[in-house]
Amino acid sequence: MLRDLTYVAAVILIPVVPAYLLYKYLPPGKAEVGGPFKGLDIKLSGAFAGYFLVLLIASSLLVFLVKTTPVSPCQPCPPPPPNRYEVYTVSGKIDLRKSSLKADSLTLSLWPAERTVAPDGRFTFDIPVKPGQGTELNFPNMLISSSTDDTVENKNIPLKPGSDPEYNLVFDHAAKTITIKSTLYLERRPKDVGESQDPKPIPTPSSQP
Amino acid sequence: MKVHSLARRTLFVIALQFVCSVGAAAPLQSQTTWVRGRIEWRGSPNNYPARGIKVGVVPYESRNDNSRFKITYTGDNGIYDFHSVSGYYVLRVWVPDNNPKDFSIRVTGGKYLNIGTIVIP
Repeated sequence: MLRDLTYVAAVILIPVVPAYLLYKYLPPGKAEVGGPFKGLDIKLSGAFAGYFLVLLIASSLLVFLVKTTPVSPCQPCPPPPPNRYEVYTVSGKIDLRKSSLKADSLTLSLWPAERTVAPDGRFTFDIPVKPGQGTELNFPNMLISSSTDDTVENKNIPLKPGSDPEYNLVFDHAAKTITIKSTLYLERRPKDVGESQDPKPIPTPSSQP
Repeated sequence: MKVHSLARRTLFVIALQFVCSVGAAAPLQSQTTWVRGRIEWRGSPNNYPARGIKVGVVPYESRNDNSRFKITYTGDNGIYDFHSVSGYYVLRVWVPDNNPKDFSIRVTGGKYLNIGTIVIP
């Protein structure tokens, strides 16, 4: 508001200076300004005519500057609160034609990796949680798996409130934290053990003759 | 007196055998089986692991109740794991998301069960 008032005051007062200089130092003559302007029939003369012209020029320049200046939502913008980050959406396209790769064979990773496990097994990472239906949030699942050892169990942990009590998830919605209170154990199974069985497809009603 | 004592001992042994047999059978009925399977994409020349595929399992009699599915996801190696007690189950693979594929499996109560690889075209 104050900034707008300053602009208005500047537009009105600053043209007084060149108008005064024009009136004082130019040879005396009859300066006249007349004609229609914004629905009014203007007829001005003398110093005020000079002021009015300068005012018109200054206003047009100001409008041009305002329109071409990029708008900032806040000035200055407050820094993001500590321990928080801003979410950016990244998009792009990979040309698969030359490499003849299928899209589902690729994975995208970030570096530095945002999810790592410390030597003592502790981990901390941030997750984006998108709004779901209504006021519910869409919490993702956390999948723990080994990239080097197939004999280690893949463990899936739903990170939403009210999920498997085995993991004892504690939510602090004010601090935006999820603490997995239960220590997670990954079993290891010997190779080539256990009964084998082929899964039998169950036809869907649409596929039945 | 001797006959009475012999009868009591016989009855005691029979009862002991019965209790032991029941006790031995009980853990088998409640033991969970580690069920493991693998999902692959059909590739040329070789198939490759299908990572991040949603897989669910539900007792066969509850197959129409979507809320009863125990959900997991395949890892980078295309492998999924879950633990279940013995029984008949429906294994559902959400590929594509809006038209999942169902398979029937039987968990027999052993410690481990390997489900054959499911190949997605």
